[in-house]
Amino acid sequence: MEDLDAEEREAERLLASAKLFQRKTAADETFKWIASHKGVLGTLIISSMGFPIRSTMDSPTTMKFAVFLGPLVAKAKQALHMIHASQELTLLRARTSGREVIIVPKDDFAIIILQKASNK
Amino acid sequence: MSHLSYSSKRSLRSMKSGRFGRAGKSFKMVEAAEPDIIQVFDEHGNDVTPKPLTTLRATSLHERLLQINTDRFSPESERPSIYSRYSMASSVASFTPDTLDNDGADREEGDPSMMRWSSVAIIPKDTAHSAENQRRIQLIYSSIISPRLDQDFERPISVIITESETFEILSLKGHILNNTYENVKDVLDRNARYKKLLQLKVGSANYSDSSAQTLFSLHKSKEVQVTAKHTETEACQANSWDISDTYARKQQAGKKELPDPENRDSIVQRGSAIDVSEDARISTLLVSAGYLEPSTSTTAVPSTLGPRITAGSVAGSRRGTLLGSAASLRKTLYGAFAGSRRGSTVGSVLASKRGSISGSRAGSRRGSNAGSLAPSRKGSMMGNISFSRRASKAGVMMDDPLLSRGSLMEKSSGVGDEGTDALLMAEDTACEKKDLDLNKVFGLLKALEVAERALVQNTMHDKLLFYRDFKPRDPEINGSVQVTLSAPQNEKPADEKETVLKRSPIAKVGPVKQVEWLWDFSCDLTEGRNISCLAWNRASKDLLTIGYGQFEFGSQKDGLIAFWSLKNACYPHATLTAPSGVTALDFSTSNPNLLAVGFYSGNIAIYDVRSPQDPMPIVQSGLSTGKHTDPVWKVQWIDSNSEHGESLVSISTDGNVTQWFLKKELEYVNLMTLKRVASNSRGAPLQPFISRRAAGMCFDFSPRDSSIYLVGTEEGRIHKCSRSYNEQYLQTYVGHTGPVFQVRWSPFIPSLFLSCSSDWTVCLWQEDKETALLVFQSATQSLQDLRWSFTNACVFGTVSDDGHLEIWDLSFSAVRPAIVYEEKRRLSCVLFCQTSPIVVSAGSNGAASIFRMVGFDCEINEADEVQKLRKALASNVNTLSD
Repeated sequence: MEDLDAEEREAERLLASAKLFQRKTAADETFKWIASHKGVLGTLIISSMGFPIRSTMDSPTTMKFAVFLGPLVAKAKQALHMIHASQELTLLRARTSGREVIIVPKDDFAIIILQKASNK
Repeated sequence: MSHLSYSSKRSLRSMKSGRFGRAGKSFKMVEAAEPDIIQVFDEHGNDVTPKPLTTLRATSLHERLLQINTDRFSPESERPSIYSRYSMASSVASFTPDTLDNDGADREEGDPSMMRWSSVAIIPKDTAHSAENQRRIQLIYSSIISPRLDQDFERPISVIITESETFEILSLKGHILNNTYENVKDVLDRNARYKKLLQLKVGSANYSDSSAQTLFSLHKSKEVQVTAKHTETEACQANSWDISDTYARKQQAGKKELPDPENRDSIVQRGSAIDVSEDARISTLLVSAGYLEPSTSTTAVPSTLGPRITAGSVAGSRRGTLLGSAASLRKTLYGAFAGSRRGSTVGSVLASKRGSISGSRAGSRRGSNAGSLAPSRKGSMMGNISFSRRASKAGVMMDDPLLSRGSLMEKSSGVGDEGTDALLMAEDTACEKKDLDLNKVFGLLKALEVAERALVQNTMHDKLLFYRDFKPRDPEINGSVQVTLSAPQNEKPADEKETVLKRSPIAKVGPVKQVEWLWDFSCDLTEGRNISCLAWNRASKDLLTIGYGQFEFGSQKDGLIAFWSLKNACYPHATLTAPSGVTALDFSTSNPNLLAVGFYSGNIAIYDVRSPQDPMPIVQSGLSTGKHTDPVWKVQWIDSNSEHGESLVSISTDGNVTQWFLKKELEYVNLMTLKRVASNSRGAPLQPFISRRAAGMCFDFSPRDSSIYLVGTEEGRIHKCSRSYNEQYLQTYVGHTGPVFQVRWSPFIPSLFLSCSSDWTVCLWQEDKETALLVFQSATQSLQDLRWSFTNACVFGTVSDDGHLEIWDLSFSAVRPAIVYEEKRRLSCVLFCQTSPIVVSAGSNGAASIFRMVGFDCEINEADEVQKLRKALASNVNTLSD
């Protein structure tokens, strides 16, 4: 009885950890999902040095974004660091009349999403 | 040892030569020999005589030992020592005993080892001019056989390790003789004699011990400085799915299309290799970035950038040489970036590799970045990124890199004017590269989740506001209502006189009752799974937990529990997989992180939802602890009076209502074993039952008295039971003709409860009456779930098998539901929300739909609500005992 139980549990554990592993490789899928979400005009991941790693936009636009938004993120991070030394910038949104740029900066990279304004 | 033997042999030979006068001189000729000065000239006639590293004073021992060919070399101690040192050093690698022996021949031909190790071939110009003291040695440059970039690295280098020569000084083998051997007697005699001799030897004067010593030549160590060769160890681990993925990818890459025509053209324009494979792009990338000399790159690189590791290492080796020439930090980073991007896709380099990189990071400073770049060349991109993080932390690069990127490219492109074009093309290649594995980037998933949430919140902004009962920006809310309204104002049943008066003001003045669909909680994970239970978290009332599990026996798959949050309606915040279908969920009140789950297999598990990474429940029932033998249809945490705190109660179709205690393991106690009760309605003779067990489908504890609970059974009876008795029912309620799927006490009036069953009806009961007060019959299919609203005393909702979501309002009408919402799928769960006017309905397609209830106003005071309900009851029910 106990053996069966232990085996059951072991099997479940393996199955669960296998599923967990699959979940962890979902960064790619999530990226694709975001890029194809309604209203999203473009998605971009840039490294901390400003080089685009992944982009769904055409090259000149990607370049523009990377070149100009990289410093913006850095400045924003710095600014917030000055104000709240203990807190890190996790999300930055810039809204124009028709567009919204969502930036998630991290240490090594930043995710930039360009979305059409959703109240249209 | 060869070194030693060399010198000893040399000494022997030199002594020999001295003694036998091979060169015609004695070994004391140090002073007498003509000084023989060597001068080395290169092809242009410049004097490139190598200067000695050290000067040694002559000692007699030294000279004796180090004389080589005294006719050729100067007797000054420097020269032979130096030369011998050179030759010694050079001969170490390729020294064989043969070369030792014909040392004269060596000198004349020019030592082959010397040839290999330097670009200098020292060929004595003219042996005939030995009389001349000066010896002109002409330098002839032999071509440097630099290793071809790829092949040499690829070519297997054979290192032959041989033993040094073994000298047998004394070899005496022992013999073993068989006793039958004829000379055994002689052997024995000899042995005996030898033994005696040994004994005699000890104190005898004939034998004396002495030792001999071989002379060691004097050694002096000389230090030479060389740039350290950077080594790195790399470990790789491949799982079986990694291997299969890589092979699949390779096959796909083989079938893949050539890159875009415009890329190809741009490559062609640059005049580099026409090879249109990705490797060519890499090479042009590197060329334009100035890392490879164009001459070598165009010929060597494209054709040889076969394996990806090589590409990375090419960049690495070139970078190594360029670093010495003060390439800028950013430049190297870019190269590392380009190179390592290729390298990162090889195999599956684990995240643990970062350990080695961070180790190097810890120890090195900016100045020594050169050395530490090498790990990143072969490593994954995150190695590169961690490097860049270090660079940025140094504070120098923070503001610069992007602004000066233009200049970066200008500076670095050896080919000249490619500048931003190269960068653009690089970006093209960067962006198009599909084999960059985003999954290796640490923290990307979390960041993507945050981004996803922000995105979804944008899209669903209005809906979220509506959820929260804020006024939406757009005043027009009735735009897309797809709801079939049961029109209240049109029909007035004749028997409800009082309610007519009540109703018309509502129809005219108040808002129209409707539900508006907000969104669906669904994603690809949940597609096709049947939702079996919904639960709000007790602590944060907007976290919806959905359990997925099939109801039918035949279609069982594994179960899933998804935790959905308002922040992201498109993907669950966390998920847990379970081995069998989930049929019941409940959160604990005292510890809101404990989630009790009942499974189709009859097991119960308790999960700690704080750590969804750990997919295992903290405790689970099994065969050993005892479990239900049938699916568990409901679990509920109750505050038990005992010292154990909260305990879990579950019911299942095997007829047991069990209470589980969470001690070390799950322990259970059967609260009740449901038994069939004979129907005594018609007076027909009692039929014997095949099985006396009844099947329990649902239970609910009374809010007034926590030891009393109702149980709905499969036969259609509802029993009131108490925890103190586990055999007897306190009361039985007869009325339903089909299995009772849900029974719910009213949260406002403690003696009322509702029950829904598969006989298409909902019954309203009073606790002390055996027959139902009211029967609601408007569905045409089996009703799967039933809930009272938390905020409105008169409102309850049901879902049925044909996809109808019905919201009843007793104050409005007891005959027909206030709202009927039709859906295409089978609905199995309904849930009201405590904090917002929201109702959730869930069904067989795996999506949980969120509806906002519009037009249901609730009183502020709870007593007023109760009053409303009583009034409604009074108007609808003929006899009301309370």
